[in-house]
Amino acid sequence: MARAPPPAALADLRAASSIQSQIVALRRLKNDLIGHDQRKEACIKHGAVNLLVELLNGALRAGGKRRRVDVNGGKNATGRERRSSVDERWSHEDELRLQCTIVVGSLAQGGLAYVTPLLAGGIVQPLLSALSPRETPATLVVATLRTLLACADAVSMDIQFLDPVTTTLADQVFSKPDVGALSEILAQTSTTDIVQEQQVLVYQLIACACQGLDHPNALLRAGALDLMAAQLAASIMADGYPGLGTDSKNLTDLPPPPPKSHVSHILRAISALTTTDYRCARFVYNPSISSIFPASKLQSSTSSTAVYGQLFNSSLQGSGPETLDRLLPQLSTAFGKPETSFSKAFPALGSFASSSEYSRAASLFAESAAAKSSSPTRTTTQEFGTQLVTWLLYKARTETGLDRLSAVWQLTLIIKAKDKIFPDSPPGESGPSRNRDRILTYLLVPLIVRMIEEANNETKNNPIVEPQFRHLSPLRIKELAMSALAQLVEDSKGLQQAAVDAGAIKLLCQILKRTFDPIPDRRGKMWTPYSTDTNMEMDEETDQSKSTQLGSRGLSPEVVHALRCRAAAMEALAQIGQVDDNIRKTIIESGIIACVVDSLTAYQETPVGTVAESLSNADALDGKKGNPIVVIVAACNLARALSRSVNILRTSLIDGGLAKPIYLLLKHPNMSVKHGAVNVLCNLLLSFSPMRDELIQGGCIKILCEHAHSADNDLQMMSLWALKHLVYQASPDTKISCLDELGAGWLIQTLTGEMRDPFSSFTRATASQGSTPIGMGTPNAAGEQVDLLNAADDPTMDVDASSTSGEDEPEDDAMADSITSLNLPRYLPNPPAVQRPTNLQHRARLKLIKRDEQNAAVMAWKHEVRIQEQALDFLRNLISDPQSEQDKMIDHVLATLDAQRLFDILLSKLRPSSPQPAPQRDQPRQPHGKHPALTTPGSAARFAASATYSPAYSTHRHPPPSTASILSQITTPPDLLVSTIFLIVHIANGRASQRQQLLSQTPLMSATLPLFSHPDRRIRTALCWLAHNLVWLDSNSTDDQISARQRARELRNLGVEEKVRLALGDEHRDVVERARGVVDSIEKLLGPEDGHAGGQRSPRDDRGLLAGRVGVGLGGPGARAWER
Amino acid sequence: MSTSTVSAATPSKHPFERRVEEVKPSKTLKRSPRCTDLKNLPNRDLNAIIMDYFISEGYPDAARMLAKEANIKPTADEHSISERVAIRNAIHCGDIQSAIERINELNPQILDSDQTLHFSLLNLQLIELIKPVITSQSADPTPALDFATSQLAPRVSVNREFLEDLERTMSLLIFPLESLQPQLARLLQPSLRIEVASKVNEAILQMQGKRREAKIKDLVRLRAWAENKARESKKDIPAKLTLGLDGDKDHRREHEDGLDHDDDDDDERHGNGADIMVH
Repeated sequence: MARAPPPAALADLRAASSIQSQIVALRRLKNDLIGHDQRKEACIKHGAVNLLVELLNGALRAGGKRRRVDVNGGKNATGRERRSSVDERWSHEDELRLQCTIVVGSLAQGGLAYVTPLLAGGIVQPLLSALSPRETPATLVVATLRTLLACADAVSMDIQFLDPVTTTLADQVFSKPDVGALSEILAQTSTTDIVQEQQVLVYQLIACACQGLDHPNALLRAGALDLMAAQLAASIMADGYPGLGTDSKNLTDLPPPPPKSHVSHILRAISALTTTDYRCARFVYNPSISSIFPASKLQSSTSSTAVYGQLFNSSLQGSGPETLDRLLPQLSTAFGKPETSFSKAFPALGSFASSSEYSRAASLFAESAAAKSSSPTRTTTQEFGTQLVTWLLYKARTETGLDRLSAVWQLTLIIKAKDKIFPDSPPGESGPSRNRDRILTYLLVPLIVRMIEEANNETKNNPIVEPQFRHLSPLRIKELAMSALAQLVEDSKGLQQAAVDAGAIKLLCQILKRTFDPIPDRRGKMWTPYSTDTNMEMDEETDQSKSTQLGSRGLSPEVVHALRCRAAAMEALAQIGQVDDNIRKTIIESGIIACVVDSLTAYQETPVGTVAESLSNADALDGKKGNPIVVIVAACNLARALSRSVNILRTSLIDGGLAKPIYLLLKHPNMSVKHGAVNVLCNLLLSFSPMRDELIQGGCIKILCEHAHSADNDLQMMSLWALKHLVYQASPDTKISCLDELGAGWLIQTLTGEMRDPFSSFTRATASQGSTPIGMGTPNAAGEQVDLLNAADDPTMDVDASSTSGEDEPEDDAMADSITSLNLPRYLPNPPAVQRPTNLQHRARLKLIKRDEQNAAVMAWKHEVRIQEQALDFLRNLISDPQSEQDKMIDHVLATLDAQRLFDILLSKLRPSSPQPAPQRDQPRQPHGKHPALTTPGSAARFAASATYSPAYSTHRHPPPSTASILSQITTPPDLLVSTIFLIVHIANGRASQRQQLLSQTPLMSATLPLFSHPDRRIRTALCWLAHNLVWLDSNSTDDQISARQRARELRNLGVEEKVRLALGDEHRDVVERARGVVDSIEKLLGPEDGHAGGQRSPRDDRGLLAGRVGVGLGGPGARAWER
Repeated sequence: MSTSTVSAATPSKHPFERRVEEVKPSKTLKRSPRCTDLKNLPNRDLNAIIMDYFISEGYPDAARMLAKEANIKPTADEHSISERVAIRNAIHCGDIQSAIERINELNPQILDSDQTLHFSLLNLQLIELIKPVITSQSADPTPALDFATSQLAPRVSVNREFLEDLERTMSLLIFPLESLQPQLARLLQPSLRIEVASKVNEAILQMQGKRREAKIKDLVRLRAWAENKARESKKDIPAKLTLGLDGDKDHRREHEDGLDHDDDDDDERHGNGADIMVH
């Protein structure tokens, strides 16, 4: 049998001499190829890709000479006029490009195997040059977009990352200058079919391919988000909902409303961009959106709650303003006994990166409002600060299928970011978060669970989907709805419970288990009348470059779906079981532990590109043979969530054999897998974990130390966290080897952190650089000095610089006033007037969010705080065990790290590190004015959990932070202070000589004095513990008594005793108790009846308990690792 | 044109029918909150539905005339309708190759992404190649066999339904024309062309992001569903409810055939009508 001949049309195309004959040949080739996979294959093997690239480039050069400006320009041009104008100018080159583009599109429709050679042959760039509607006829733009979308669609099915070339597509599309062409397409205001088709294709392209950070940022910069927001606003306006804003001049600028069918595409494209708080805020504060959904309509009041009731009741009576809330079922607000689980849920668990300034304001409001609670009222979705949420909820509840999903997805993103976006939103009587939760609990969570259920039932019956409906199918809805659920319930105990109540666990576990069922490969190989002898092909083939070989076919859509479901279900389960032990137990009882462990297996190490070829469909679903990265990461998250339960950790997880796969994943090349594995390890290495010894013997100390030295910030932090758990109550040998492996030099360097040392780099930099206030160099793990200042000027900072919407942000100084005014109401318990936020305020808020999220200096500072905290806790756990070797271990640590250097570092942490001019630095100043509102019971812990910048304490008095001035006002975050003091406490826990050594560090001891009035209770308690340990009496021997008396005297001389006595009047019992113990001891030592000091109160036990806090604290300090 | 939608009033007034009469003028199909001209409302909605039907099913001339008569703006680009009409006519005439090329010209992704549709067209093309072979003894079957080998055979290994279809088509070559089984004879009927043409039309509409079908088809189904529901729950409605189009025939069909064949019949009937209107 003969080998398949090259398609005749391809030969014709090669032979064609004139452009006309090329076009004819291309047309023929197109008709030959469409729908014929075998011919496509033959075509690619015979070098069609390079030929097409050449032709496209050639036509581009020829056509580029006469630029079409204004083909689509005239706003009033009707479709017919425009078409004729395009037709007039329609040249042969255009036709050639059109036919080429269609042929490429047809090849791309063949799937991943065909797209890989296309991308390898460099097809994208010549295609992209035909995107700008100003220069290209509309028909060609449509064809190009279709082709790009076909490629992107095929690439999106590659969840195994088979070939690195596939990632290049999106990078090329979403980067300058071509990203600008996309915006141009979106900016067209014509309502002709062809323009609308272009726009819908752009939406789809964005929704399909836009990932990571760079792509959305590039699109944002090009103005695409604003354009899409305006389109959405126009559509909402055209629907005529009640209560929309009507009085803004922005409304007249709205584009003509897009067709209804576009709305879900627009929403999905917007969702692809609004994946971070900042970009989400950009969407919500977009002028078009905020003018149709004016933010909170509160006029003014002494009690915002009362106004709420009024406003709403009047609207119920029909006389008040109509609002979108009438479209939703009404819920009464939560009232009655405060349920701590609820009110804490939203803001409290946010990592310190997000919660600091924002939740603070919210809870201040909550407390003041709770004090003067009024009659029960109804919830309104204004709790969320914008009616956009109401509209999305309404959409989610009334639409079906993909429309519903897109609304739910966008809603989830806004809710995730809402604490940052709407810190000013007025509270209900029980605090805003509680009513927010209530609305979501009743109106959204059950809806999502039902969506998953419905999609699941549909897919069960009919798993095959024609490729053209792939994006609309129940399959996709199922995957995405589970992800939405995961994102929504994250960090909210109330919503997690709501998901459980809606029956999510059973459903998700069932879906998860089903993904392991084998799926027959329906993509059988096509029969061919020709010989398929590969040897023969190889012989004849002359060109063996990548562009002439079919790529890997990837997995079949059904298998990809199953794997995506596996990942999404585990992710959702992980978030649902994030907090509550009972929920975790229910999950375990569903019998999914084997699924989790199987999902932790990575693919065997093979050369890139062969992974999937070697995997049949059945193998790909069998978790034991390997899983794609998304699945592994999700499994790690679930394992981490489950391992938080001591019970499960000691039973199901050990039975399931979790340790080995996690250990193997530590060495996985992918960073997110490493993150996931180390996170699980944090829990598996706890002292009561039965897997600890196995893991230590397996050599995980070495790997973790390597990771701790890595350049990746998160990995560094997590590894150190795991090591911290590892050394707690470990044998001295383990501890010493761990310390050695980590390296004393590295620890010192980490602890020092240039930024924290006011005497070194900062002052030097200030001196040498004059007006530039910061010269921050921070060493990364490799020891390189990273100039953070310059990094801050890198592209991340100019996100808005070239924005087309005129959103260019003013200079920092100019922003100062608006930030002040913005912050003002947040820090006053009773805002005199909450006005509708102006655009200026929006911009100020955006600036704040962006700074938090993108400013390199701020992020580096946060990282440094986190890592130092971990390093201090690591040292503390090294020396914390109340064993006989404890003092030896202290000696060892002091010797290894160089005692004096360590004390200097600790001193630098305790000292207010404000790099003020030198004279001020010498006077120890109060680090923070004790702000009464911040130390009320219950709230202090919440605040303390987040590191913050000093402006947060006193924003209304100080000028607001600009990027540069933030760093000049840094005070040590409370967490870091706590860690520092407790390390000192434990050093004082050794033998008498060590206590003496500590006391001789006069500057260190003096530095503690001002901290006795720190607003954070934990710090005050810790200081009392320190004094307690310093006057501790080891035995009743005379020597000991003499030295103890000596120490007590020194404490008195230093002024510590006085401070401790003052602490007797502290508002916290914990502090008072500790202080009383110290005062008693000192009196016993120095007072009249000294000589009989000793252990009626068995302080030794107290100390033991205290020592345990760092390591054991599943719910204590250690817990934050899992809540991140 | 409007005659086809006016329900015929029957002399014997069933309570249900009286109620129908009562609600008739306000029978609005589109919720349009801003509508002020209530008097013209029903007419406007009916016109819109008919216009929608003309556009979806591809009757550009009729659409233009209706637009003129009823003084409404045509909602679709005439060009896009005529493209679909040309494709439909090509299929109706049996010129499948040109239909395929036209489809590719209109939107190259339709046939690439919908293998079933492509197979139906190729199968139809094969039948057209077989027809001369079985009608005249002298014709050479080689082109048909070649076509089947190169175009259809590779696909059947992927999909079992394709295999059955191809086997059925190929058996046309074997059995004598006079004694064909009904399911084989059906392949030679024009109705197959009409069926495929209708599917192509739907696929094109869907790719353009429009409704697959005319709204009126949904309404007819909705009406039948509602009637069935009412009968199931023993509501007091007349024993016979006509669509008011052509009397008893419709009525019978609705009850006996359910809805599955609705489309075919509709197509057939309107297909005939279309010929009148188009030519």
